[in-house]
Amino acid sequence: MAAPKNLRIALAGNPNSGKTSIFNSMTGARQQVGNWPGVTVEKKTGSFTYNGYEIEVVDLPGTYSLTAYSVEERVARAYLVEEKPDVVIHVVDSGNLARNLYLTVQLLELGVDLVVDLNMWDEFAACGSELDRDRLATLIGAPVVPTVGHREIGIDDLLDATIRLFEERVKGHRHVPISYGSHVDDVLNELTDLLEGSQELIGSYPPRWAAIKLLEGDIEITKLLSSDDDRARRIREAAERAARHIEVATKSDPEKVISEGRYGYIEGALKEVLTEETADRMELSRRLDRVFTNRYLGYPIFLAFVWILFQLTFRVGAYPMEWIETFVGWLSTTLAAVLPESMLSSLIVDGVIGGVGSVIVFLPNIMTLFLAIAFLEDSGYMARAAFLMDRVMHALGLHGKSFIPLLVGFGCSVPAIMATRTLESKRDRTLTTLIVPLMSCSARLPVYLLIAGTFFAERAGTVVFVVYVTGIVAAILVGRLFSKTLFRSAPAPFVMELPPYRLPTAKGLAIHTWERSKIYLQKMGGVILVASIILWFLGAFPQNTALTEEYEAEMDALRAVGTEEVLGRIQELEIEAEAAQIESSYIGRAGKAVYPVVRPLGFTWEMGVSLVTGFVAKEVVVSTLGVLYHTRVDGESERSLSDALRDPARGITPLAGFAFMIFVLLYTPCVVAVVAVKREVGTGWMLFSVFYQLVLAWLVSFGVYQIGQLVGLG
Amino acid sequence: MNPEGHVPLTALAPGDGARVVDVEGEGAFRRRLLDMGFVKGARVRVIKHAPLMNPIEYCIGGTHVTLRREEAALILVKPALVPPWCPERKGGRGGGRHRRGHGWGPRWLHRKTSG
Repeated sequence: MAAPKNLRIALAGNPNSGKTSIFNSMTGARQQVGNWPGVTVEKKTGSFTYNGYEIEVVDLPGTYSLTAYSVEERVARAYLVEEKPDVVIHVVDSGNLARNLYLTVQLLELGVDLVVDLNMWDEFAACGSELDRDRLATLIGAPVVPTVGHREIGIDDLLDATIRLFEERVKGHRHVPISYGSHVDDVLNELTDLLEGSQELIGSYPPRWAAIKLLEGDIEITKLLSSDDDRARRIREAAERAARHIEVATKSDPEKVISEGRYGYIEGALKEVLTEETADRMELSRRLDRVFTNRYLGYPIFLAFVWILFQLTFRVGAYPMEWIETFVGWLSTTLAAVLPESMLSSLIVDGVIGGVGSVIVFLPNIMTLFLAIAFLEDSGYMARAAFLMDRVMHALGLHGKSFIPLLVGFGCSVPAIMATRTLESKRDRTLTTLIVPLMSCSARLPVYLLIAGTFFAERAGTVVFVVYVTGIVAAILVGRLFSKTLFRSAPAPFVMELPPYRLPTAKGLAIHTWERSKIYLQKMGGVILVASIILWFLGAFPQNTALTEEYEAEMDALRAVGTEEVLGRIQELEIEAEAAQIESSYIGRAGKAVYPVVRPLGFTWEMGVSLVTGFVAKEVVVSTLGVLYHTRVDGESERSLSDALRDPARGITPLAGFAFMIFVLLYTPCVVAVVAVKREVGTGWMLFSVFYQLVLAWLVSFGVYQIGQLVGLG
Repeated sequence: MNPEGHVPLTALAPGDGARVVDVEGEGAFRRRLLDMGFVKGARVRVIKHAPLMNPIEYCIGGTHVTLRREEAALILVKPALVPPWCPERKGGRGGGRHRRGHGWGPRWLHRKTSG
């Protein structure tokens, strides 16, 4: 048998054209998800063998067009031109041929070897429409294959057609260039000739395509021709003349005329091949929307869905979470018992298992949340939720779809930040990611409970509520501020498609959920492992051997006595030893070093240390305070931590306690969330997010404490 | 309304139909509208307003698309008869049989003013 031949194919298509279901049917679970180089646009690749071919398939970002205006479109066309896949499969929604063929036309102009996949053919046929596929194939000069992606029908036919095209491919594409009307065609041909003579200026772009793009005023192509070179200048001048000619002749501008030309061409072609029935595939969706986006029912139903989403994530997810917690706990106690007491065992138990365990326990929540989000997306409801919420979110300079990530942020920032992927524009994704941590996550609750319980016993509920509201207000203000300053240049239009409602398939949901959970495990797990080890070192070193030995000796002496009352004393000594270790460790020193900074907020140095260790996870603030104030936080003795905090000598005032809650609410989220921010929006924004939150937290807490003191609340 | 009877898309009420005359605005936003099918002569129909009156759902080229009010205001249209389903093609009567009993949504015809 001959060695398998290689074939590289790319999937192009509109969002909502079922491209993902075709990709899933082809590759199954053998797919990798990463980012396109340099941008945070998801890149999916997969490979499989078919008929003696080793096929590698790349899923291009879903686009409506191939302009230079959006990252997705730039990524798609750069891949097509530079990487030159052997065959491009254009996945088309058969029920919406006109808008989809608009992209087909542009792909053909780009000179790729194209197979047109008429996806969702079942829906099209059910509407009673008829299409002369052979005639369509002849008209556009590309094979046409019907498929039903989510039911895996027609995939083999599609691959057969792809391979046939690859094998029979004649050099150069066979398609007839489309006509944009005589006014445009004349100048277009002239410009094409000029560009043909200067191919090296435009790289691998086909001359005619480049000529069209020049007329459209495409920034990337214009930039290629911006050199001082004589020929480049001649081409620029010719393009300007051509654009003026079109403007005068059509009383419109080239970009409009060309778009109209494309739709006109498609219109003409469809007239020949399509017999449209009036049975409307949107009929059912419109009926459902009478309920889902109803003026009165829309919001209650939306809130009900959100409530279910939360219940699923944080209630149902809590059971497996408990099992994992138990398992991690069992593992660390077992290992601690088995391993001889040493630095290494402490590193493994406290550092590695503690750190990685803290990430893994969230996996059930994250998987259920992603499953629920995948369901909302695949069913088409997410677009409706955005439709309902856009008015509110737009006031914050955000997109309607930002609502879900912000809401999830009340549970945990990490999945919330990962959920920003559902936003199309980079601007919206970045802005949403920046303000998600201001939604008070559930890990901050133990801190509020401790402080509010200590200082505001009767009004604890109200105080915690005020803290949550402060977070929301901060998010609104910060969102407005950032969208008016940092993100002013790129307003994202709300041109959003409301796709027909569809019942999601189990396979689709499973793949979506697994894909994102895998990212969480791999990336987060890896970074967290390293971060936990580093943090463990910072907490364990430098070792104060002399002091530790002193404590050990004292405890040994007491153990020898062995009576009831000395047992309590031993426990106290243990805590004291631990506190002494933390105090003298690098983390302790860092905490003490930040003391001058947090002093104007009314905090003690112990609180400074706890804020530093709280970077690992916000709950850790409480346990660190417990250790530093020489009390264990295990239910019965929690009172003593409260007592210590209330103690005028060592503790703080209620006002400082409130300022502390505000600080914990607003400051840099935990390390896992920071890693998630980096993954979604890059290192630069990650650093910015850390910095702005620290500044914000300090300023607000400072304001609360100082103004509070001035008006006599201290 | 200008002399030729052109109005911004926002002047239409839910159920009304129109043909696109021109798309104002510029850059990425205008191009996105053109790419979605808001080209001269295209048929568009208003489906509904969101509960807070903004954004607005339209039917264009066989799909449902949402636009914010300020964005839709940049699209100039001429009120026209548009079939009550989502018309995919610009011209003709959609090529198929017309099954529905009720009219082609010409509510604007029966009102004194539009917008």
